[in-house]
Amino acid sequence: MLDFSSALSQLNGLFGGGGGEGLDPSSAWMWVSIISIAIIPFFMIYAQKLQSRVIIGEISKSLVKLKTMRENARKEAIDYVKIAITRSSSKSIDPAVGVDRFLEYFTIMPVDLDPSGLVRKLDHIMRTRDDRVRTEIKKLCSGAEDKEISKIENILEAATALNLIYKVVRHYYLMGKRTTSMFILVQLQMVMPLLIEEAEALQKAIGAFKHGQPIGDSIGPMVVGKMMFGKEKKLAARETVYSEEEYKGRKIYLLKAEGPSGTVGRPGEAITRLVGDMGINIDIVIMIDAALKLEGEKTGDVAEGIGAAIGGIGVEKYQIEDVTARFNIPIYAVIVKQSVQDAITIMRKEIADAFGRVTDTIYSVIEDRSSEGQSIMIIGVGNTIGVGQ
Amino acid sequence: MLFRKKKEIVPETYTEETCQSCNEITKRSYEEGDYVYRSGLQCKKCASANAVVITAIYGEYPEEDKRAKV
Repeated sequence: MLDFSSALSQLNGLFGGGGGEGLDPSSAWMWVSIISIAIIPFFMIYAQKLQSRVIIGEISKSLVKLKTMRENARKEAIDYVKIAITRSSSKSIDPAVGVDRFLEYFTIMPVDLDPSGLVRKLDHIMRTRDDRVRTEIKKLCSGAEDKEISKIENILEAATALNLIYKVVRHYYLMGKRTTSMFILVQLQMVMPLLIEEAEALQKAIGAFKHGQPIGDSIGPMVVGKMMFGKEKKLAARETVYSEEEYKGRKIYLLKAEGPSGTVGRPGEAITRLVGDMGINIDIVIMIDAALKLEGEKTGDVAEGIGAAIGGIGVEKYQIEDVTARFNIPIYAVIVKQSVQDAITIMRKEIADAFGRVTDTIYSVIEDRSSEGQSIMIIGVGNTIGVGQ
Repeated sequence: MLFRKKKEIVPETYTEETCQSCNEITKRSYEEGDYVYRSGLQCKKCASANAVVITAIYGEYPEEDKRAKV
């Protein structure tokens, strides 16, 4: 048996006792001291495990939230497709299987070991993907209008993104739980607020897509759409139209995706066709797009710069840069600052209010950077959902 | 409050219309089928047919949320 009194007397000595006024076993303070000291090795051994439990609990709560969002998005997509089917063919087919197949749809990016010709391969894969998705949607709700199909495409894209976020988070959560790896769990916990924010934005985006309302990203097409209003529109590429007008002795070519469908068009292909193939002489290109603001910057702020203002996977940007570099055409950019959430949810008033400032900036760029007799191409970049021309 | 659940803020969606004839700008609640640059509507002020064009559709958030966003 352990001789407790000798241990106490040793402790007594440790704390400077020995003169008869050391630790008294009946004193509460002595027990507090012992427990305090004993807790240190306990936490040295179990602190990480306890912390893991707390983190797992927190991630689990967020995962439930993500699951609810995913389920809601799936349900909304199914309901919308059902309505579209009824509208177009007065049949009532359950599209759940078709929608579920879309949610699991994936695209394999081309190999980048040899980067030469990578953009061409990427373009080919993305076109194949777009065509396949569109054909499947058309098959799912035969007879639906193009506008309706583009809405469904956007809704399914948002639902697929939500599904992917949920599945990736679940993967790391289960992996972290299985291995009790703090490294995985802490990383997941740290990015979780950003993922939840993005997931919430995607969920709200579905609402805007369903109603065909303009989103923050639509500001570029909205500005160019106003300039095109009432003018003859010609097809420049798939889902992309252009118009011509005169401004202070200059010829202006206006280019945007064909609205009010939910599409970004193919501005890269359009400029290649117009400038490269048709031989239209362009002296400057002005691009208008929504751009991500930094924290602290105001939504709807307008800024001016140089370069191809276009997002996406990079194919369109490459095509625009290629043509402009080949023909030595300077590119000017006008951007409207907004957050990721603002860019995919209904256009905020602050962004719509930037319309006038963007238009003024474009005309001042035209006047400053070009002279009479020159030709200018203005491209409204972004999803043109809810914006006609 | 520290543990208060975040309230979901839903924006009010409005449609802004401009009459090409009298330049009257009107703001109304969004209706299904509205899209920017949709024309062919009649002006309520000057009664010109096909003169009204939708010039903007946007979501307006409550003042409280705007302050939080800055």
